Amino acid sequence: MSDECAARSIFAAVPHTAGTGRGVIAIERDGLAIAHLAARATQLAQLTERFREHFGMVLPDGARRVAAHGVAVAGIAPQRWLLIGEDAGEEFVSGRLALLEHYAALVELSDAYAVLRLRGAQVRASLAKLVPIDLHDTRFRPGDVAQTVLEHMPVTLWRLEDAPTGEPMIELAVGRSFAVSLYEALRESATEFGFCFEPTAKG
Amino acid sequence: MSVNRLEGEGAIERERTLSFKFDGRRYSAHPGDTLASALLAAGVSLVGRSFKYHRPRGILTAGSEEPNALVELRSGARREPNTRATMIELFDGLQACSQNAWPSRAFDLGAVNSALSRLFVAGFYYKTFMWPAAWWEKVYEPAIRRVAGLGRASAESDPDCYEKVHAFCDVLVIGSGPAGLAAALTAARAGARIIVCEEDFLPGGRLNGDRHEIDGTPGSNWARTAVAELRALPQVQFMTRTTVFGAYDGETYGAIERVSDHLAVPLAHQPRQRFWKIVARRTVLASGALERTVVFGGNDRPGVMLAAAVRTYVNRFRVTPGRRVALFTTGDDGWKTAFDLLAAQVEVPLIIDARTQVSAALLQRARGHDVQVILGGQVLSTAGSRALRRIEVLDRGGRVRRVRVDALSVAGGWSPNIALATHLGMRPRWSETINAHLSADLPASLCVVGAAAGEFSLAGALRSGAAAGREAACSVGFAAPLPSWRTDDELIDSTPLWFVPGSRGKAFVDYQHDVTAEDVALAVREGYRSAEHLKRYTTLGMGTDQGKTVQLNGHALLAARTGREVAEVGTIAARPPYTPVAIGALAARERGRNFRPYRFTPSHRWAEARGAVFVDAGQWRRAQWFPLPGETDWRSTVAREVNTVRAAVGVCDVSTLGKIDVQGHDAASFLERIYANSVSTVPVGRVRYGLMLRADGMVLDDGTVARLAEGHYLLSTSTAHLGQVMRHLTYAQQVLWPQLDVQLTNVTEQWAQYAIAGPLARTLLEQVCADALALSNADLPHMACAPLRWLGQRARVFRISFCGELGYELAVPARCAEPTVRALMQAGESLGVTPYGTEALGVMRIEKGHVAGAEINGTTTAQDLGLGRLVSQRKEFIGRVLAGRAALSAPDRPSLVGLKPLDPQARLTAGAHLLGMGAPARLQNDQGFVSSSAFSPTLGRWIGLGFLSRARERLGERIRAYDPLRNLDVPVEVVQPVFYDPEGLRVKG
Repeated sequence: MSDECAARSIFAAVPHTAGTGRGVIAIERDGLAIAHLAARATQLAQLTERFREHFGMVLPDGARRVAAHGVAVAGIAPQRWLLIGEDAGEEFVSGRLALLEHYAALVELSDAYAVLRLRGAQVRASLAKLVPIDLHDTRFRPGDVAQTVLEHMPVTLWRLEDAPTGEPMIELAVGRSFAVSLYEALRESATEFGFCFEPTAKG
Repeated sequence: MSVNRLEGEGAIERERTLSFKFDGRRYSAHPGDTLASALLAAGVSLVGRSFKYHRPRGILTAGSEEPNALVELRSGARREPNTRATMIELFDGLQACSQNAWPSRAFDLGAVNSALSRLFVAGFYYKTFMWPAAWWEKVYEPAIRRVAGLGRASAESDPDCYEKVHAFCDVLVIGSGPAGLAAALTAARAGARIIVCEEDFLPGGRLNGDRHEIDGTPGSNWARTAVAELRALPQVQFMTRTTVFGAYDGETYGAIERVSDHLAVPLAHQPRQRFWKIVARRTVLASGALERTVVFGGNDRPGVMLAAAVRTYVNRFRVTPGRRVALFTTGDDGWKTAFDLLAAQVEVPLIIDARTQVSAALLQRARGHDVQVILGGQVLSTAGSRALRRIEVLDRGGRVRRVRVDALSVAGGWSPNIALATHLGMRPRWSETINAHLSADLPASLCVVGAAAGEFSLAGALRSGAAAGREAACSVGFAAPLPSWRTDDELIDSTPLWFVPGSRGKAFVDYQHDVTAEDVALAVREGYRSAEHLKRYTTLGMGTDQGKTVQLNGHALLAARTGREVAEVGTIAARPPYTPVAIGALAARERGRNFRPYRFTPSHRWAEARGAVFVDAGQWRRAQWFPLPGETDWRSTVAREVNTVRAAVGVCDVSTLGKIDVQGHDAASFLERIYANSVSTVPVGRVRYGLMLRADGMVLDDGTVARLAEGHYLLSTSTAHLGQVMRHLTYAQQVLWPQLDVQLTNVTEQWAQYAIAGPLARTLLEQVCADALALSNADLPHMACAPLRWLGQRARVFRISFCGELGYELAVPARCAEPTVRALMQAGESLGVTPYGTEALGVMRIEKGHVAGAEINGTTTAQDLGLGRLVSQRKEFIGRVLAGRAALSAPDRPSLVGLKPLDPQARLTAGAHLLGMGAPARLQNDQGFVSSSAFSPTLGRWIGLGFLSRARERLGERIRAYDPLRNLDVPVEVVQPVFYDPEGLRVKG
């Protein structure tokens, strides 16, 4: 990646803490490679097989996310997924294109999303003020994916395995243009619990 | 000062003292007091004046149903009128004022209305302000506005913040009285996820107001223990100060949590109130019952109080409303009040029971205290100028006696509090057993328990609560054992007395709106027979309290006057909200700057640094223009930007335009069905203009279709229509033609895109990417596109132009936005490049006659827009059939024209009506309108686009643009809608 285009954080110019404490910690997931994967008509079986061969994972059937070897795939609609590569660089999508294009449309969206990882004891309490879905431990389990709306902003959420501390970890992807507005909403909702922002996290 | 404070234990902290002011006078109270209990303790019984007659009013209840004791709470920006003193939790430094009284609540000049009450009967407004009609706006309305309303709202901006929270549970329990606690305990012990909402700051409901024992401990202690158990369970959310105000579809309930109303100001980072949207699989409604008064003369005088409220003040707050308190009751329950007062050493001279027979046990107990009992008696009237001094009692023998008292407790029977069970349209049914309405036709997810279900005994409340809790838990998959509790026995017999026929003086059926028994009689005389009509004619039950304490008596009066049973008259439907809700709480964060989220383009910060002025374009913040130092008039800035683009080169951020990636073997066929013109035949590496219709034949959007590869297209849409277009395409793909192999991806956010336009556009672009891409007319002609490497990234160039000059659009991954725009500006410096905003873009597109949002407004066809020739006659596409409707091609139908004021300096305004030269400005002479207008720096004059009837025949005709809003009437010439470079040579330069 050209140095010139090494992204300056979308969140560089916003306040990075609010309130006292660390009830909610937001970590910017910069540098992810993201692509939209949509199965071609009648090619789902072949795509699934090819995907399994190459990534060692079964494409989830439904709103679930699976991950292996630095690649995650999240079901966002019937026969549609987000493919997310950790620290995968520009070649992530172009490299996979040849492999999958006969079976699917693969469209680069690495720059289209801002992704935040939220962790902390009050993540659910904070998100309850923002999204109209049930994020209770038993209803939104690790690996679950949800597409919903956060103060009029379309968002995609997925729950990761809990942190070693037992705190829930949820990642939230939003259109890049909404990132600052979303961040502000999140920061305000978490202020009573103590909010802090941390730059890019790997893994 | 605490003349009416009693000894003994209640639910107040006697060790601590709080200070507060009412009408400027200082009083003291204790934590745990409400403003009502504190005022009563201080001997203040007159709290305010009534709305219409300015009658002195006191405190009737101890809960949220209070109709009388409405005050203005706090001051300045936080001043809130109509706050119920019974719901105000006292804090140190609290300030409140009485309402509707001038110059003071004790001496109120408005009370003259009471003397004029013959004028102010029901229907007064309808009858009085009818004529002369011209007086309505000039005289009547201003006069009514001056006297109308309760209290004064603060005119300042609300300094507090509010929050909205989404909650979900297995079982929602509304109310934490004995029934609610029993339900919550039973379901929670089974493991169900529970939310309990309690309106009061002290959970326990009547257990705090009455002296009961459960399992041998006082009821209030039992409640405290139960709440502690519930709060300790992780799956239970127990919320006090939280009123469930409405039931909505989808098992959804609205609740307001008063987070900070009990504090002088909210704590740091805390809202004043939280609006909870609760989705519950099951709901147990344990909202208790509301005691009714009886309609008798002077039943509104300060000192007249509901009997259960008296018990609450005595037992919970250790306050008595008076020192000599009589009881007027229609049932056994009221007697408890007398005994509780007696136990607190308060004199009870008289018990009047409207029934002729009561339990011997009650009589014996009363006699034991030397209390005189009148059976079959009725209170005819009350007396006292600002507080109760005397009551007149009619006994069974027809004798009237006067008794000196300073308070009267009235027990008119209980009505189950089923408002929430009727919000979804369920009509309550009349119960002969309890002489009140019960909920009926409940949805399976809702269960009503305790007093709300007519179970007026403590044992019944606990039993029905536990059963409902178990049933609710079982229905969501949790097995729950049924607990049981031991309670004392109670007498709960009652016979209703709705009104006292021989009442003397005004007898109220609605305190807050000053509706009297006489108003009901008048309504009946005027032909009103339905409870709903009675409500609207008399305003009975239309106050903020919704007539909770006495409305049923009004309906009973209507029944009596029309010779029907109460059951026949029915009752009105309660509507949400159950109690008043601050609009601020419903808006929560969504006000001011947060009304809607902003979207920022990837180079927003660069534009900010360049001093751009931004404009809202939907959610987007777009640069409108870029003023240079010294430019104070935006028009000169825009003129400079336009002139620079026309003479040299400019750069405009067009990232907000929609971009949709379309792939698949059937992509071409799909797009042919979507667009009205032929698009799939565009060769790879070329771009074509595309026009999309809705199914009804109107134009949905226009944009470009670029063919990137075989089976791979990139569509562009207008900024505003992206969402609609994406929905349209998705619908077509998923519903209309699921058999086609098509994949759609909205890639708008992925790309930052810059228009580089002007005669020097190619020169500029060559300076930055000549080595990556050949840009000559031969290599990249007008309407071509090509990929390139740009700053090490995959990028694209489109040779397209919206402004009519040689133009390119450079699309780069969003992260490269700022380096890209900086590189372009730097490279163009020697060429005189300028960034330009949406305003210059708008001016130039009007000069070129390109249609945009003002023209593609959902009511125009391709033909209207002058694009009829594009519409294919050789294929099927969405909108083709209905676009062929005869009326859509009628010659009178306005279509696109250019408009030029005859006086070049005359201003033309969008929205102006087009009229014939001499035609009067009347609707029937309307021939169209101006849709867009601008001052064209290129032409040095105002120009406009508009829609005009029979446009084609009228080129050269002179008409008028008439704008009554701005008081403009401008003669204009009808011209072709292309003002600049009509041959279109410049884009090919």
